[in-house]
Amino acid sequence: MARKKKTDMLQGMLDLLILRSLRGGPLNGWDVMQRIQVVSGDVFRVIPGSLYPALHRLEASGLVKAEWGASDNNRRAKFYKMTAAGKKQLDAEWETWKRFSGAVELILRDA
Amino acid sequence: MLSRLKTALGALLRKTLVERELDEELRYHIERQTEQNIRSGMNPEEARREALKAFGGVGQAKERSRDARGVRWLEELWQDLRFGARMLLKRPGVTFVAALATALGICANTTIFSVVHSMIMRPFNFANQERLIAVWEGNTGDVNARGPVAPGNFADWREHNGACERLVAIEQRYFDLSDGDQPERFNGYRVTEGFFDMLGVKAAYGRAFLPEDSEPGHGRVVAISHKFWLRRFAGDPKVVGKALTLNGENFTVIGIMGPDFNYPYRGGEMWAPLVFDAKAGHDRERHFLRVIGLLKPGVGIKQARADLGEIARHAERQFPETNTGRGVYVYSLKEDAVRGTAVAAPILIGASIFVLLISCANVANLLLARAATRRQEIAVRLALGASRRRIIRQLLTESVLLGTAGGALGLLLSVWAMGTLSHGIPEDFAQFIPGYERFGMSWTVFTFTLLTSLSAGALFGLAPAWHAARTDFNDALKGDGKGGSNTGAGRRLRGALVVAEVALSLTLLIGAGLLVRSLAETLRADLGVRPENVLALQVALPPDGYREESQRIDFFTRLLRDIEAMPDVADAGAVNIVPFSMMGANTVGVQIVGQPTFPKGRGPIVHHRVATPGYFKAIGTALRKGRLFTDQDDARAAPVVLINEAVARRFFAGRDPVGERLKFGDGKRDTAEIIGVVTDVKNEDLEEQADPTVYAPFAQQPWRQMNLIIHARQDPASLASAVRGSVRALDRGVPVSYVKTLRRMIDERLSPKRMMTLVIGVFAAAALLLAAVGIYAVISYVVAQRTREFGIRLALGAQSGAVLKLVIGQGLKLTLIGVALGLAGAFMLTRAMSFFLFGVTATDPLTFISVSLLQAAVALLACYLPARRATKVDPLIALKAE
Repeated sequence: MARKKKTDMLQGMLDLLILRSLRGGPLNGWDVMQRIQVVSGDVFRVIPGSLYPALHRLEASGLVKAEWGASDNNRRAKFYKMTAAGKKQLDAEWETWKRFSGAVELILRDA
Repeated sequence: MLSRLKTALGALLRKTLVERELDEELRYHIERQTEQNIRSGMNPEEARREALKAFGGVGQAKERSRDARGVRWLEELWQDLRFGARMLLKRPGVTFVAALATALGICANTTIFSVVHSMIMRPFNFANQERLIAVWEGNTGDVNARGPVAPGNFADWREHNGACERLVAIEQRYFDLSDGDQPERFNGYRVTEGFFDMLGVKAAYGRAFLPEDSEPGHGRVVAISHKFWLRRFAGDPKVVGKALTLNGENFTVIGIMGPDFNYPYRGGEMWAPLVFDAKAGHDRERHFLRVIGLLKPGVGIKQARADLGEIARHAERQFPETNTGRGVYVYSLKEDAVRGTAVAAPILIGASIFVLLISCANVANLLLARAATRRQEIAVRLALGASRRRIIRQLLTESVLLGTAGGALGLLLSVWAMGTLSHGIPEDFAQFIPGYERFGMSWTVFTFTLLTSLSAGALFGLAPAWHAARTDFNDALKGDGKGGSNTGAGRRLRGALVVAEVALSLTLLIGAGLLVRSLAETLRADLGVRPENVLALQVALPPDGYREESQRIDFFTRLLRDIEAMPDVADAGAVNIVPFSMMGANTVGVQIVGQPTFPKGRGPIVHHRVATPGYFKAIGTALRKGRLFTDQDDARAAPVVLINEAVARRFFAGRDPVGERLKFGDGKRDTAEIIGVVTDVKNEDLEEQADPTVYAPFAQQPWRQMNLIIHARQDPASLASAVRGSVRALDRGVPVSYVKTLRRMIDERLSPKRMMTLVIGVFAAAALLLAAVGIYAVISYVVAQRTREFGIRLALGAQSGAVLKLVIGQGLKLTLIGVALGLAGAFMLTRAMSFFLFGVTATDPLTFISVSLLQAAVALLACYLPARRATKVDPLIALKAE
């Protein structure tokens, strides 16, 4: 029960992190995972079990587009690219997040 | 909302696609994770286990559940096909070479199959053809006699036999067609009642014969061939019912036969009913009929043989004069029709299968080498829980796909090859080959090609697939992608394939070599005539005129005088049967005066030719002894004959035959003096010893039908119309036919041999090329695998010559084993070809040795190219490459 709650809570944030990591250009699932993990200084560990459903959900809602291509070591891999809608969504979510986190920060600091 | 719905719908429709893509995506992920784990210091097994653990075991569960759903094999097949196609397209070079090799093998097989199918398996398409038989006469005790039948014996069989529903006699007959202008002569047949019915053949226009057409006193009718109809009447259906003047009598055209009806394959253009009058119907002396029959349902050939044999034995007792020693020979009609072509079938089929096997070995080798580079992919699949069976199936699907692609390409090649082949045999010759007109692409051939391609795909895929699936994935994941099939088993398998390729290719090459030598011998052999610039034309005096022999002599003497007067004519003569013309033969029994006599009908038989004095010079047959005919050897002079060397050898061993006398077996003529010996002229096959032949002067035996032999000073074809003019000037009613140069007749006789040599030669060349590619590929692979080793050797100071020797030695070993096996195979198999060989034995040492050297040289070249690369290895680069 607790686990489900956690997933629900994290879902919106995972989408946001994925979209953010795709802002620099198309990446495959593995790279997305690595990037999130590395940039967050190993704080966030995304497991494939939630990463891929999230990617496919984003794809289904048209925020990212998937394409097969060659990875750097020349293997076939699926690359995800942010769409214009995805970009708008990212900006909007980011704003929301900034407001939200700013609010939380304020409360934690001053309350 | 709408786009979401669309995606969902699409996903639903492309469910398998989505699922498979997901699989691949996840597999990629696990692979990357495994690699990273290895980099961070885990051992490969641990790395993979950790990667799977991180994934939560999803993949394993997924693979397992997929195998469990047995009913979804179709879906899996589709996946495999798509995946296979993608893997093939990923390495277009390898795929193309493999498909091309397969195509060569498939093309060879498809083409030969279509030949065998149309000309041997189903040479004709008659109703009840399993029950049709051919019945011949022959001396009892012969193994495979096929002698023509006398009308009296045919009548016996027809009346008394209990095995056949029907028996029909066929007489070959010339028809002189005159429609106002100069008559033209056509070959045709007269057939007894029931001919068309028995074969189940209907006319394309009009009708076939009815029983009343064969009743005496009924109007004369004729059915004509499709070809004749097109040529003579431009395909006008209104010809049915039209009257034709044939041999001076009025015939009504009642039917036009279909384009594929050409029975009995002797170039016939028309069929008329054959009715015997009482006297002719009981003739047992003249044998000139071909008899075919329809067995009663349930009656076999053996039974028919026994039944008809009983009748023949009865006739022997009843008519000892004519029938002593005469037996009956029964064959299935198909066997009878294809006996000339069937001998070539096993060789052609065998050769084409060899080509296919070589190409399969080649492709198997390519796939083996490639399988090595795919070991990691396969190992990951195995690691993810795929069963080995599933992997084998995936790889087999891929190779069958490759086989099908090769087959499609081969089919195209083969359509082209069939076109070339069907133009390779002159039409005048082809009409003697049953089923030739139906040769080409058909659904049966297509089905054959499809099945062959699929089996070839499975065949060349099996070894690599099995080998790959045996992969130990621990090693593979750990390894650097090049260990694996360089292990003992893989190397031995590849070596064995190369040995097989070399052996098969050498066997084919030797077969081709023998055929080429044999053809060369045939071409070089002295035919006994001079084929250049000789034109032959048949001139037949009509049956209703020229009753007096002197009239015939007069006609031909004046005609030849006119022709000799033409400026372009060097020599001219006439003969009753032209050598190499396929006009058949006229044989006669002879008795040498002063030598022991033989019982009637058992004496020696010789070929009998009637010639004018100018004939020998015109055709280029030289005199060996004595003198040639002169104008003085006429009807009033004493009978004389010339003999060929074969007669001299047979009857006068070591003695001078000139001045001896001989008697013709029919006893109707006086004894004749042998005045000279002429050179042998080869028989119709251009190969065997010449037939013993006796020549009589035309002036003493004036035939109605003679063939002008004209030796021109230049191209003789242009003389034809002038000669026709001369004939017309003498008598408008005399037909001229069978106008052909001697060279052309000889070429026609040679064409099957040329075709056979060409086909086997092309097969052998393809085999040599494929085997060379096979060796090249294997040695290249070995060199690539050992680059580092060679680099070290060179760095340590090895001479490049030593490395060269090392690599070539490896190739040479395989080649020599292959050559040894190939020689042994050829030694056993070429005996089957003896029938086609002339002037060279089936184990001709020169051919065996020179062809082996060729094979070895090509193999060495194929080794040398990659070996040189081994010596050019830069040690630094080789070491860094690790």
